[in-house]
Amino acid sequence: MHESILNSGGYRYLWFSVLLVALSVLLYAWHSPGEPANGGTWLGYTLGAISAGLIFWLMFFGIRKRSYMSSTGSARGWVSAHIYLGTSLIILATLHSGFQFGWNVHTLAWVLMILVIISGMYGVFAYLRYPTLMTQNRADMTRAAMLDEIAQLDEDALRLADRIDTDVHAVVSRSVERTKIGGSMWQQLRAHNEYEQAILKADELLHKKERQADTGVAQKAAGDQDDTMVAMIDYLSRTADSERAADVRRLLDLLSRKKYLAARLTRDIQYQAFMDIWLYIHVPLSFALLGALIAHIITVFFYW
Amino acid sequence: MRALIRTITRKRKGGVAHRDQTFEGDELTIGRGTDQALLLPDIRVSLAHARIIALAGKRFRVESLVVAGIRVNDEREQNAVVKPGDNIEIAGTRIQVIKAPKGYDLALEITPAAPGGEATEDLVARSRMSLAEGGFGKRRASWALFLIVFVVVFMIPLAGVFIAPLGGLLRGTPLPGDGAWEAGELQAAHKFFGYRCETCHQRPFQRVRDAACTACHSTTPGHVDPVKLVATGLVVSSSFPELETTRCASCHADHNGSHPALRYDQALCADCHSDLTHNAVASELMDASDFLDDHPQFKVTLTRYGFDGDAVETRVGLDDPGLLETSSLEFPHDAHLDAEGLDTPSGHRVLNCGDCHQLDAAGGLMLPVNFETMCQDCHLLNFDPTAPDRQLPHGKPEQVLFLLEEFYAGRALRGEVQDPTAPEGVRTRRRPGQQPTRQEQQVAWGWAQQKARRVGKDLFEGRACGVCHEVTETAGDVDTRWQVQPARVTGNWFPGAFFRHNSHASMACGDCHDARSSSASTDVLMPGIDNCRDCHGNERSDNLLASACITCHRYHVPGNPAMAAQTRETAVLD
Repeated sequence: MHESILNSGGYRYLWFSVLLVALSVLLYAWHSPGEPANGGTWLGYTLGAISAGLIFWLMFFGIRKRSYMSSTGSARGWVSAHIYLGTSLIILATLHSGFQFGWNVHTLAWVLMILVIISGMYGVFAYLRYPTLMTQNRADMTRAAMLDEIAQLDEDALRLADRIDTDVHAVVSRSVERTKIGGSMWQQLRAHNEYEQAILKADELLHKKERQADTGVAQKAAGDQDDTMVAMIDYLSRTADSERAADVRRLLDLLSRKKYLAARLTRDIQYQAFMDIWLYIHVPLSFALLGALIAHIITVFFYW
Repeated sequence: MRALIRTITRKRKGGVAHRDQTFEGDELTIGRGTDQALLLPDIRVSLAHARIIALAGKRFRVESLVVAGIRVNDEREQNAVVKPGDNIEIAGTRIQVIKAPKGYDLALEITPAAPGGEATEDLVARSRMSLAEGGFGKRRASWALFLIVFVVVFMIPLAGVFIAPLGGLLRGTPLPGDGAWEAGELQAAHKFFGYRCETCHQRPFQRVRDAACTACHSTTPGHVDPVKLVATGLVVSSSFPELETTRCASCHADHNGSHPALRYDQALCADCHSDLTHNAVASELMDASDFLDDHPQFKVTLTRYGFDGDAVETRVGLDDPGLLETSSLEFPHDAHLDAEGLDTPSGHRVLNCGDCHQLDAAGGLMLPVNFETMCQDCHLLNFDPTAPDRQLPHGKPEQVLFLLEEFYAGRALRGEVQDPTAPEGVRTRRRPGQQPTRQEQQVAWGWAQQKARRVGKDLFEGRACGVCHEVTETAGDVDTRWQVQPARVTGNWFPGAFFRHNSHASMACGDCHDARSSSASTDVLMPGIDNCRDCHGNERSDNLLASACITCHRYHVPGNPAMAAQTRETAVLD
């Protein structure tokens, strides 16, 4: 069976976590402190100490995962332990609270912890789902290969454009210069294809040229603001010949291939972003949790 | 303009060489066209892509001739003024403006785009393909959130704790003060503290001290009387370390909701009370640790009165054969509770418990039975058939004979006596203004005294007092001739326990008190522990009413010295 982050070591950490949770629940059910359940009973302190220890250890994972030379367990084992023990905190820390919630630093720590865990759960989902989708989307290409091909297509397109005429070269050159894959975080997540926007005009123009090359009739598009393009169209419509029309078509083919590749690449980036974005919530919230946790621990003893 | 154009050429083995050209002219053109002054043989470059024009004062402007523009210092520009150190980039070719050597106005260092891969590098350089490049860093956000949270919920409130004016400001506003540290809702009685945490939490990192509690709760009695304890040969610290180490907050943990916080677990009591017979040999208390499984039969506290009226309290077990109530009252419950009813002066009545036993204002215990309001309806204290409404006062035997003498003397003197056996003088009504003679007066007084004594004896020994009370005749004078033993019915049978009748209002009296079959007032009608165990279990019971020690008993025993004198900080018993 394929060993994933979930079943590392034969679900060793799942069983450990289930055992930990079951033991805590049983103790909680058995425990009758003679006062409302709270974090200040012996069981409350015990569960709190375990939870805090787990949180510190889980945060240490951020350091451990960078220590590629470390020999303490496999990285996959660590992730597996991180996932299951992290999830068990939902129960442990809630039992520690004795279900007492309020507008205070203690519940703040709990809420942050829950948010961190939920974001982590999304992370597990993303790690299990997106790599497969990415493989499918790349269709045996690597990202570098796609980038190389796009760059190659750009050069070919420029060469072709140069054969057509200076204006077309200028337009394609501009399109090439403007070709950016990805973009801001939001654009990456939305699979925003800036390239598509950038070549839209060029594409449109080329289609017009193609039609004109075929029909030889100039059509001044209503509302076309680009004087250069209009001039170019006029010019082309006058001097259109079949060889040029063929070049225009080839150029269009190149752009179409580029569009296809860019779309895949953008999708690839989107999947990658889906796999990464939760860490931008998970990690900073963990540190917010660390702040609240330290405050929680100090203040409960400050006002003991 | 005289410009030096230095082109860097890479050698195969990684070395670098350069080739210099000199340009002279007004306008340095840059492009792929062969007519350009600076020829850039890259397909991405336009035939005439840009130009450099000399401005006044040895300044130069680079202008793009195509919409794609040029990059100047990594910014896409249409034109820009450049100076030595600036970097112009066209389709991967870097044109560095360097310091012009002597004899030149301008010097450019050209690094051509590397063959192959360069276009890809350009594309990659333009693109942002990971979130890390998306202008949003985890590290900075992490630190920021950590600091924000820590400062807002810890540092600011902490500053408020040590800087009083700031603390006051924080507590009075929605700003995060030390109120944000509150672990749970205060119990209702403490809410008037507001956010003055220091009322109880007087020193940082120190648990709430008892002195903080007794500052207000100064009269709360302690659990034991240390003096008594010492008198019985026990020492708090060695025999019962728990009494030493137990803090107020051990039981009264606050911040657990608005209802009074109180430890109710029986283990807390059982620590000591499960083995008092060994731990405190001198104690009269019996061992108990669990109401259902380990609790002795109840004892009632009976008050025995000595000859001089001095009271001695004795505790007698309900299973004890010597269990007798010595109220000196003659009262058969069964006769009064006759289901057939009773013929009374006010007609036929069926009596119920509540006709005599009524709850006190607190609803806990029964009020003492009151003769005037409860018995006298039936047990009239009238004494003469001809004056049925005249009644004697209850509870004042020394007045009875005087009142009787006065009553009969008055009648005799007025000649109103109807008794045919009485002397004629006292039976003859006088006319208004007619005074009895001295002899008539003596006859009347003599008869009245005799009559009063006869009626009194009848009342004391038979018809009235003797019905309920023990009456003894002495050789004493009129006022002390009959001694009536006062009724001393026990008011609180279980002073050591805490029982409330109104908590048991859904039950019938007979469920606990078997009064209908009691014919003697010496019967103690208090229910035993088994009766309570029909409904009450121990603290863990779930098919009985869960009952811990403090369901019935109190830790703070009334009458003991106040806790304030016993707090650990001021303990004097060591």
